[in-house]
Amino acid sequence: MDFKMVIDFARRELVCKIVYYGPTMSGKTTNLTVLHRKAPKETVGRMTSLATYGDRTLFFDFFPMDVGVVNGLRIKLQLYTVPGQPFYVATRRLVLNGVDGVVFVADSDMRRMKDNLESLRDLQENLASYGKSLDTTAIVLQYNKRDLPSAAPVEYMDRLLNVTRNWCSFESVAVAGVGVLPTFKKVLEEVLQRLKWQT
Amino acid sequence: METRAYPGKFVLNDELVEAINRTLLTLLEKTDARCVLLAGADGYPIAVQGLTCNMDIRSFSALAAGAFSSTKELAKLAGEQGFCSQFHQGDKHHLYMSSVGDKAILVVVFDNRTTIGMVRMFTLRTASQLEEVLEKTPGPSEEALGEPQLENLSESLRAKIDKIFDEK
Ligand SMILES: Nc1nc2c(ncn2[C@@H]2O[C@H](COP(=O)(O)OP(=O)(O)OP(=O)(O)O)[C@@H](O)[C@H]2O)c(=O)[nH]1
Ligand SMILES: [Mg+2]
Repeated sequence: MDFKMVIDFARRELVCKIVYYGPTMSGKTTNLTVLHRKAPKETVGRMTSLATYGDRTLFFDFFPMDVGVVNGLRIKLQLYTVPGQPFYVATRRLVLNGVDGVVFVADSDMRRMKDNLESLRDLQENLASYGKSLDTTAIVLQYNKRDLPSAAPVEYMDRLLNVTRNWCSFESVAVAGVGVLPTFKKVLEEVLQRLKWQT
Repeated sequence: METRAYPGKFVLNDELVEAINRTLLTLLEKTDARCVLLAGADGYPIAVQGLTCNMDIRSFSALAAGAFSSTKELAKLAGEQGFCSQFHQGDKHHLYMSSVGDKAILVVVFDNRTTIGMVRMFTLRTASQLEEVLEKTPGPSEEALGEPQLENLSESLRAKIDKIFDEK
């Protein structure tokens, strides 16, 4: 089922697929939009958003990024978001096909903790359908919407969501562009570390 | 160095890329299509032949793979194993997509110079040829992963990304 090229030798390419996951309205599409806007034009392709009326994602958002040559390898990234609404579980599973790294975007709003947990469980189940797990996948947590007065304390969210207790977590206000880049850099690092570990 | 297979992943070497390109070119000529594309099931383009003009290949691939896998799930819900091919008819341009095993999809963009019958026949034939070709893809071998500089790759990438986003 799961299918992915690690390194395309003819082209000396390494392709990494990063998926932004999390409950609906947590800020996944916002993260991607910010990255796309901040990246120099020549490094990124067009951003495709398959959204319903309003800002809810229907299928996925996607853009490719060409990082350039690093250590003799051309590194290309594929960045995706999933639709967070519970209803779209089937499409979330499809987007996870061949995933290398996940950014789990949690909503800091105290009232969204149940949704965060449900989404994490949903991620676990969907990874399992590809023979993967929360432990074997490169995952970074992002606690978004820290600007909300109703934001839960970080320690609380860590206890609730940091299942393995050793995922890196970042606080963010994605809509203001805060915390988006550090999260992105960390997930790439995690992916590459695993690649090294696998050899 | 121990070679532990990255689950389900594979490496394409020059020989395979050449074989794939040759096969795609033959399909293009036989069907008189505008262009043919082989995309991985994960949406990444593997090879393309023909007139792509200013088509955004990467988006095209990602969307084709998304549409294809979505239809496959539809098939399952309808009690089918999966639809192995799909046809989308437009005014001037049409799309024919066929699965290549469960690893990839083959997409043919054609116009009214040719017919759906021709396209279907040759595409299905090519899909099974490509399936054989992809069968031969080796797992990540020692030499394959050994050659590029994986040492410090993470650090080097970090520096590169920092530079790209020009962050202090
Ligand atoms: N207050 C606040 N609002 C934010 C923040 N980040 C995003 N938002 C807003 O939250 C809403 C939802 O953001 P999206 O990025 O579309 O959410 P999503 O996770 O893609 O949602 P789905 O596509 O339904 O899964 C938008 O109105 C954003 O402007 C933040 O850091 N703080
Ligand atoms: Mg969205």
